[in-house]
Amino acid sequence: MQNKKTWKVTFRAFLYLLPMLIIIGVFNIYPIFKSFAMAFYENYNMFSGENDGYTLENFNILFSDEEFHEALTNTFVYVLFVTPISIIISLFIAIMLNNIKFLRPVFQSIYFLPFVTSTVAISIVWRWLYHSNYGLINYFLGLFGIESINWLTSPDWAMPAAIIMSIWKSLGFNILLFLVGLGTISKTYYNAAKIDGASTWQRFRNITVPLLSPTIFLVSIISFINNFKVFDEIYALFNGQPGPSNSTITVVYYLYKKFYTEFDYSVAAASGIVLFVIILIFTLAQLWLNKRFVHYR
Amino acid sequence: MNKKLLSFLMLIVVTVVLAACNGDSGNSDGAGEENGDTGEASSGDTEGSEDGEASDDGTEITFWHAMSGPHQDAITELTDAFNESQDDYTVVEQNQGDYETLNQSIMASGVSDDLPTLAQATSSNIPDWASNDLIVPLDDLLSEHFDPEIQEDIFQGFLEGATYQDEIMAMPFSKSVRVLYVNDDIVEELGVEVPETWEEIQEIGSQMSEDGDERFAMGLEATVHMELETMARQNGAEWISDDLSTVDIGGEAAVEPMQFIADGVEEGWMRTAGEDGFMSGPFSQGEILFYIGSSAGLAHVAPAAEENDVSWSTAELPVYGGGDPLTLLAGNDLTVFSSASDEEQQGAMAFMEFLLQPENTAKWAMDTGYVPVTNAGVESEDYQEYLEENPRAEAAALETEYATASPLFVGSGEYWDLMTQAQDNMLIDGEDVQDTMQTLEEETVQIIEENN
Repeated sequence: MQNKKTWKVTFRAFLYLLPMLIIIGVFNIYPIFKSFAMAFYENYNMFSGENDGYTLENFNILFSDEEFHEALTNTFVYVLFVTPISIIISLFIAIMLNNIKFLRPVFQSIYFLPFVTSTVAISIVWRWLYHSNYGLINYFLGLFGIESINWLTSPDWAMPAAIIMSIWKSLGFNILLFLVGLGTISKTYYNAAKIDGASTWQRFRNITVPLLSPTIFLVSIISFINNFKVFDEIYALFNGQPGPSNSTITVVYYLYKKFYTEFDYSVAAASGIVLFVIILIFTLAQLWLNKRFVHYR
Repeated sequence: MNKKLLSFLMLIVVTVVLAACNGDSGNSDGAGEENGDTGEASSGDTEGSEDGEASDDGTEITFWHAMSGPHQDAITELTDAFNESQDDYTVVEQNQGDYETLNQSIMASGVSDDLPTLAQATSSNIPDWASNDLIVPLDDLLSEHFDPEIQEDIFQGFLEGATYQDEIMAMPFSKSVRVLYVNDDIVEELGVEVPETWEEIQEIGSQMSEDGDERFAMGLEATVHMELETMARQNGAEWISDDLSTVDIGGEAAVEPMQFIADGVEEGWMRTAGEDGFMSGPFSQGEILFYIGSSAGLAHVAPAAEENDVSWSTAELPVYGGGDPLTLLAGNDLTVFSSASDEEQQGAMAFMEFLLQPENTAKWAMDTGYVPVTNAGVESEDYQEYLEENPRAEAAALETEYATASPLFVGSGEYWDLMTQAQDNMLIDGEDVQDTMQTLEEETVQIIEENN
């Protein structure tokens, strides 16, 4: 049924979309515009809604705050480690899973479990794994003669601890997407390559990666955006603190702190906007890369 | 070109929506920590007993709280008892999660004008809510709708802790003090006395280190703020004066106990809970000789210690520097919201009056491990009987005599954050105590000046 593009048809389509648009409008679009406005209010009182007009002062405060610089640095470190490592590991696991038929659903569920478990529960488990005296991780390191590491109480190790946990947690979702992507690659390519004598690595390099590139692109965009917003993992892993000596404060943690502890609503909103701009730039850059390197069949 | 522009717009929309869809992350645990409560039993679901059968039972009073587990059962019981005791009001109690989530709910409802009639508030909430006119001063309501006999009977320190800018902003309700937890097995093994001063603890600790004992003589919670302030004030420091005019955190009397803690940690006989979250864990595993924690933690220590076959008791806090005994109050109070109608506010007062009647405040204390907030509550027959059967609760009851509150001020959340950071700097990074405390004092003065 192909309708002509008339105003009437467009209007009808709009009617169908209306319920969803209202929901998105109220819960997504309006808050976004409101928080943009909040970032520019002068002396904003959230409860009365009063403000003294618009100003750029909030950004000034933000950029001169050393803690915000720390938060930015930490967030970048976190994103730049978690995203690529998680993608590489999950791609590897997905390919392995794709090659076995036996027990595949079982493994798939195991890897997917962390994704559907609450971050708080996961963090409690990891707090035990990381424990300097009783932790399993230090126990295994001890087997190799490595001295026990104060994962959670040393400012130097807190960030690695958060990164390791997050990589583990994000695997399941990425694996699932990769498996879907791998499923769409026809076996004929591999068979042809095998006849031509291509090695496993050559098949991976010249068939899997190019044909999977749309999925890799999708996964990386989603991961980048999600990882920039890191908060739960830090909050729960360090018991409601931004790590020892503030060592794992991230941009969203900073926002949370400004909003709920210090009641600097406008500065909090401003930090949200900065994060938004960063994410936008990264996404645009990825889009540009997408054009150059991603092969759509 | 047009298509390009369109896809660019689409991209922006998608980024915005994805970036905004931040999964709800407020579900925290260990949030009550700042107030000295062991927040181990964390956020229960926001169930609430909202089955509105209120219509024919008079005015409905909504009550938001952050009590979970056995504490929630106790509060439900008291609420039901109040509802049955009279016909004018029906209190509907609703659990909002932990303290942190409760505060978030209050802030959100403050904006959308959807506040409850009354709610639990921690000491850092009170000035914040009061300065935004979310809650009403209770002075007038108290004189008109509250039994003066009960009011006069409330421990002075408790009421001071609910007073902000010379007005009573809240009614003391769940108050806890700090007590010394003692591992009786180790005490017996080492043949030491339960200490009354920090000097004695230091002696025991040094001896244990010397003997190569790997257990710790002294344990503190993850954040040492309350112990530090207690020790400093015992030592004669003013810390933060009631009228907020003096901040004495960098002075000698305050720096001394901090240096004492840092040295003890350095020497290896003192430790903070750190990665264990709460000291009740290591203590109930028999690794700690003494530890200072909230009296509300009794209920958490008991089952764990029993499991590990550790026999323990409690004692009043040790004193630092030969000063007078002192302990700081923590816990939460009840606040009444300005958006409530006169009738609802009167109902809230009636409910509070009910909660503070000797048998009820005693019952609340017995069920939860908090202390009764009135003299009559402590002296009530039930509570005295309870103390006889539960000698571990006695130390807290004795301390009510000299329990005092820290002054309330706007910005205290920020001040607590700074304290935590300073503590990490001193105890983990080994920064100079004198300098760090001096900086902390300057920052605290600035916070107080900017916000009050």
